Parts: sequence; structure tokens; C-alpha cells
Amino acid sequence: MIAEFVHLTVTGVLVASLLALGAVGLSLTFGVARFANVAHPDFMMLGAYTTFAFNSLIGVPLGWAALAGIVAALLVGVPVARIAYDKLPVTGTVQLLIISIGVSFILRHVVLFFFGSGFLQFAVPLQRPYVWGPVRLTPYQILTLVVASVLVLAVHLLLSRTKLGRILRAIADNPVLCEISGADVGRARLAMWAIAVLLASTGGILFGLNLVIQPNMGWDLVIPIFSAAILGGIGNPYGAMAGALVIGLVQEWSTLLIPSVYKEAVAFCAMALCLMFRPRGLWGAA
Amino acid sequence: MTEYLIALATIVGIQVLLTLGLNFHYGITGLVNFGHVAFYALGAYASALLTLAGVPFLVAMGAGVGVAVLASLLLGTATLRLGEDYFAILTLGFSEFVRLLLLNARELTRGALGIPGIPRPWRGLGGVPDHIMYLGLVLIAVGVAFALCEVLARSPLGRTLRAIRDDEQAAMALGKDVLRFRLTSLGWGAGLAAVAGSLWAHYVTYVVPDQFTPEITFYTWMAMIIGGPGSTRGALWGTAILVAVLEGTRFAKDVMPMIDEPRLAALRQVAIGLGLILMTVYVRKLGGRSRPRVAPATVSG
Repeated sequence: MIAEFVHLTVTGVLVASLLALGAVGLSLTFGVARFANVAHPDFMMLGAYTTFAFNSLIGVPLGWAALAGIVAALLVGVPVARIAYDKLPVTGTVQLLIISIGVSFILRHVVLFFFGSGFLQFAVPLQRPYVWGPVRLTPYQILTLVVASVLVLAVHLLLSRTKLGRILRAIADNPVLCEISGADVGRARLAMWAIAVLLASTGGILFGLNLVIQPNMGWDLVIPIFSAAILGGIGNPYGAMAGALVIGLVQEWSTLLIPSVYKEAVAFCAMALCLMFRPRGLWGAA
Repeated sequence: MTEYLIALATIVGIQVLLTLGLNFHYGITGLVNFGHVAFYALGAYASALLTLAGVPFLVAMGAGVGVAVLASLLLGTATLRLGEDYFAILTLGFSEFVRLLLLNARELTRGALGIPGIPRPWRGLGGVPDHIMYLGLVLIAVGVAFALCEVLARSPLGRTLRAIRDDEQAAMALGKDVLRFRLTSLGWGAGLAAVAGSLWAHYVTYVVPDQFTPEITFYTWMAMIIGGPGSTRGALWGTAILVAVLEGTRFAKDVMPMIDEPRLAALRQVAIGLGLILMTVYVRKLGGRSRPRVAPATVSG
């Protein structure tokens, strides 16, 4: 029982690190661009598939394939986001929300067109896990934890220590005031989309490293990632990290009590419950 | 060919009911409901299961409506106080939640196997061919729903809902209980979706969770946007255009025989995504939110 609990906790932290890479970017874009980008998890899917293309189809070793995959995801994802969300003549959050659903449809089915709908795997050798008592971790799982921690820390440093971070936080606070004071909002938004796609595509690659990929993986992650972002107070990237941890752990622990097919439902219920009592998230700013 | 047109008309009719419901939510009240398919699914499953248990069709349909309305009120009570982004995501999550339950509550719904053999009501009554009989039934439902929507939209209730949509603060300042009015709207639209679900279940005689993916919700959004949100009449022709386009793309394989079936299906979805974006940007801009004329005193009759 204790061994199982420890195992689930480890899995939960792993899931959380993947969710965090999606949720932090989602929260950042929500704060700055002021709409819920439903296509955000599809950027994860995009990164996984571009990497798959380099790795399994062309035969590039995984490390280089991942780098090339991230660059390719940026080259596709950032222009798509800029055109769909920044350039179209719309203003309302509802319109942007609907547009993001259209973008999600397009990304998913373009990938489906080229790669088919089946499950795919990177060409990587089978991994032997390290065992410390009840804790078992494969090298890829350790890599996942390390990369996710490093990236999340990097986002923290970027937001708190750089000029770009200050501008992004200022836009999230008050876009009009920020623009009047002479900040280049357009460039900041371009950088924001790049950060979001970078985080998401890396998350998608790590996802593919540990599991299998399929075109619907982004869509299937919409609820857990939004739950994590909302739980942390959407628009607050720090909250999103904590929210991801809560969702990851709650999802895995719930399998002790209820069938694992309801994991996604558990994430949804956690989000709904949280919103009922804390409409701004568990740690959201008032 | 006649058979095909009758089938098409039946599908349009069922979809119109969905659009009318969503138009009530978003077009009239401004509720960003991204989980419309949940109410459709609940109506379909409740009606199918009850009919198979021996309950008469109309009673089963009524029970389906009851289930969907109840679910919408629970969902609304929990989420309507939140901002529209939250409401949108939560309703989307709710619809996936419902689909997950239908997929996994195997004792009740048979999961992914679905429920076959749902009877069509009044089969062979008066010697009328089955599909014409059913089209008649759907048309009656659409007629009643359309008339009710028009009346409600012009009633004091409809005016209050539009006032809430346009300026929540002002409506509140005038002493309107905003939450209660929104719940009323949510329940009414969910009820219409459940009627559509019930009619769908008894028309195709087979339900399975795969029929109730969020795609249905977004098709309905497209139909509403084409027709102009807020316009009851627009819901009719918007839906007709949407179904015509969706059906039309089925014939694309005759034009492009070199592309295989799954890829063609993917291309269709890409086109649908593009359509959704372009319509959101341009059609809304052209039409804006059309407002029904102010009701003169004589309209109610």
C-alpha cells in the first residue's frame, strides 16, 4: 500500500512536470493576451510530431531531433499564433476563444493528414529503470523532471529579472498603460508566443519520450492543463506550476479509490470545486 | 434521391433545435456555452434507455429533457458566477466529463459498444412511410420550438436576457436577479438540446459516446454564427447552410480521388477549422449581433 502510494506520488510528480510545461505557457498567454487559448496543448502535440518526423522518419538521433523539432514547432506555431491571435481584426475574448478552437482543429488535422491517427513512438531503446526502494525511475523520467524544473526556473528568472519579463508582467497588469509608456507591445507578444510554444513543444517531446503520441494528445490534455492553470489562478504562471502539481498528484492518487479511466474527470472536478470556493484559483491574486 | 433529401431535412431539423438552444444561450443571453453537446447526449441517452425499458416515447423524451435541464442548472449554479472564459472552459470540460461517464459507466450505457435497437415511435401508424412520418415529427418539434423561441425572445424575459447580455451591471442596477435569469436561459437551451438528442437517438436508433464529441458543439456554434447570433430566424437558415456545406464536402472524394478516405476526412476538419475562424472574423463583423425588433403590443397573439 505504501509502496503503491509512493509509486503513484512519483508518477503524479512526473505528470505534473509535463502539465506544468503546458500550464505555465497557457497562463502566461492568458495573462498577456487575455483569452483562453484552447489550441495551446496542440503546440505540445506539434512539438512531439516535428520531433517524431526528424527522429523516426529521417533517422536523426533523438537529442538533435528534439532540438530540430522545437525549432520546427516554433517556425510553425509562432506565426500561426501571431496571425490568428494578434493580427486578425477581432477584439472580443469570445471571438479569440472561438478562433483558438479553429486553430486547434487545423493543427490537429494537418498532423493527422501527414502522420495518420494511430499511436506513434520515438525510435528510442527500451530503458532500464533505476530502483531506490519503492521508487523506480527510468533515465527518461529523470530527464523529464530535470528539463521541466530547469525550464520552469528559466521562466521565473525571465519574468522576474529581465526587461522582457517586466514588460510582459506590465501588459498583464494594464496593457493600455504599458503601451502608452512606450513599451513595444507587439515585440513582447511575439516573444511571449515564442516562450509559450517553446515550453509546450518541449513538454510534448517529453510526453512522447515517456508515452506514445497521437494527434488527439493535445486535445486530450486540454482539461488537465486548463485545470492546472485555473487552479493556480489563470494568468499567474507561478500558480500554474503549483496547480500542475496538485492536478498531477490528485489524478494519480485518485486511482487508489476510483477506476483510472476517470482520471480526466477527477481533474475536471478538482477545477470545478476550486472555482466554486476560490474563483481566482488556490493562490490567485485577489 | 427523395430518400436522401428527406434524411437531410430530418438532420437539419434536429440540428436546428440544437442551434436554437445555443442561440438562446449565447445569441440572446451572452452565455459562452462550449459544452452544448452534453445536453444533447444526456437527452439522447436518457430517452433511449427509458424507451428500451418500456417507457412511452414522449414520456422518455420529457425525462431526457428533465435530466438535461437539471444538469444544466447544477452546472450553471456552480459556474455562472465566473467570468465568461471560465464558463466556456468549464462547460467544455463538462461535456467531455459527460462523454467520459457515458463511455465508462458500462453497466448502464454499454460504454463504447453503444445502445442499438432504439425504437422509432409510432412506426407504421396510418400507413405513412417511416421516414416521412419521422420527418413530420421533427418538423412539428422544430415548429413548436421556433415559435416558443420567437415568443420568448420578444417577451419581457427575452428583453431582460438581452439587457444582461449587453450590460450586466445596468441590469443588476435595475434590480434584475442576473444569476436567476441566466439559469433560466441555460435551462431552456439545454432542454431544446435534449429534445434534439432524443429525436436523434430515435432517428438513428443507435447511440454511442463517439457521436457526442465537442465537434457537435462547434458545428452548432458555426451554424449560429452563420445565421447571426441573437436571431431566431437566422438559426434556421444558418443551420441549413451548415448542413449543406458539411454534406457537400462528403462529395469531395469524387473531385479528389487521389486522396484516401482518412486524409480526406482530415482535410474536411481543416476546412471546418478555417471556416470557423473566417466566420468568426468576418460574418460577425458584417452582421454584428442582430437584435430582434422591439415587440409591438400585437405580436404576442
